[in-house]
Amino acid sequence: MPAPLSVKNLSVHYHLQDEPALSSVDYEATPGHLTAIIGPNGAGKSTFLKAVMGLIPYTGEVKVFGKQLKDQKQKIAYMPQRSSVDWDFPISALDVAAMGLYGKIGFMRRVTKQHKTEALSYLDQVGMADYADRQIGQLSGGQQQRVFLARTLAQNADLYFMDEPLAGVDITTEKIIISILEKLKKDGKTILVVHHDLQSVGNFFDDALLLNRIKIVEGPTKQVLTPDNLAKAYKTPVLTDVA
Amino acid sequence: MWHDLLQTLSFQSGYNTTLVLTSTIVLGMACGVIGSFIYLRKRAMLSDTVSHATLPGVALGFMAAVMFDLNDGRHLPTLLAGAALTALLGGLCVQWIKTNTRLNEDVAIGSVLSVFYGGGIVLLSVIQRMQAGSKAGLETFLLGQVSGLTQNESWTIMIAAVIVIIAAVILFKELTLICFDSLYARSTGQPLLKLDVTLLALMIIVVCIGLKTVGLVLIVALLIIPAVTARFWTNNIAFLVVLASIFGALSCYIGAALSATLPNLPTGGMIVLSAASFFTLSFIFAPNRGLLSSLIGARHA
Repeated sequence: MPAPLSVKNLSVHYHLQDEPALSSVDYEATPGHLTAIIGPNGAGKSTFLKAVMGLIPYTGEVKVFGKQLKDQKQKIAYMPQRSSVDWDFPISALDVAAMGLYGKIGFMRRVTKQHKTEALSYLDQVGMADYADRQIGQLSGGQQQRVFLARTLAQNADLYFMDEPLAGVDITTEKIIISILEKLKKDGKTILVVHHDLQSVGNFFDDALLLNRIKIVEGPTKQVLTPDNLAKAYKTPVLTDVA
Repeated sequence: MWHDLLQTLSFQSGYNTTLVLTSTIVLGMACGVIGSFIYLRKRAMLSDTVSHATLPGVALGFMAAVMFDLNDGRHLPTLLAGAALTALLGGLCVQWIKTNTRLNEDVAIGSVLSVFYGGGIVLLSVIQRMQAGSKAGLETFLLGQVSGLTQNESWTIMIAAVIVIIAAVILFKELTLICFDSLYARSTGQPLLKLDVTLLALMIIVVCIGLKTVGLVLIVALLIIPAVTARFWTNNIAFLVVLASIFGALSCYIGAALSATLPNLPTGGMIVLSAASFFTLSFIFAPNRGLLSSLIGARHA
């Protein structure tokens, strides 16, 4: 079976910027693994996710389950950073979750009662069913993050890309998100998560991909998080007890 | 005077006035509907650029119509085709400057808007010196004048506005998605570029059919104010679109009726002032998001 995600010689050069954001990254995701993408600010972690999903221009080769991404859109699901949208938008938590079903519903077709019921079940999985009718701006940061997760789950994909799902969330939300990630893993899904907190990487993740504009190293978390590797990525030695 | 106004407002001023008034109301509905998506996609200033960029197109359309001997130059389809063409060009210029230079969108919008408008003004003065063509009335494209509308023009406006509304209703789910989260929309395989171009095209259509009644300087107000007014009353986008179309329709109804009855009142300005009064009332009195409500809420907190 081909790898869920295989990346060869991936480079991203943002328009009008002097330095490339990412250079010649090779990477292959292990099926059924939960992988953390780590690195300092500006290392190109979000850029990596956006590039492999074809959301920004890149050079190199990206294959999803052995095929071009454009033929595999229904197999991937993306959870963007929470800060990427305007939460004052006039929409309810339920309607946001239902967006995850749009691919299934089809272009220009109506969202039916059944779809709403299905969307509600995904809100329920993240403990947000009671807030289904709330306007999203009235939710806390952690609750908003869970609504985003419900939308991602609704896509029922095989390969998940999540950008900082655990950033700035409360303990309840963190527990719920971690348990969902573990459940997805148990179902054989492959998950790539941009993660900022080096301390917790070892607790949750099987593998890690350490980036800083180039790939520093990838592999099982324990082997990636060595003082040597971290010093290379962060330039200065990082004090950490996980290695 | 009051008698005349009441007659107009109750659609009893004869077939012609009723038709003009109805077409203006339907235009207001279309503006409210498309304006909701423009507001939520944060493209308000782009719509202002697009509307100002219609002026050189109107002037060029006039020249073309004179050249081909169409109705002394005042051939509405030709004028509107010209308007749509330069409007599209203006919109594309903003996009090009934004993606290919280090300039920000607001700089792109400011310069494109003024350059196109300036070009249009120059072309208009060239037209004034032309021998051929009947140029009276071209200046109403700036601020709008409802009384000059013919029956044919009214029907054109109405049909185009209805088509725009139907298109927006059919694409409601997709437009909502790209307004809320365009990056995510693309990740799921939605044709973001095509949807954005469709929204731009619908915007250009309402701008063009609004030229004669509201005028190109003020049409942006009719796109944005009803949508922003509706936002005070609801947290639900479907309801927002409906409310915005009602506010747009009411603004056009009141503004056009006043301008048709009272002497020398420009239609565009009256429509915008009507829209602004709905906005002001909503801004003060709306529950939850209104000024009074937040003052009271702050005292109780």
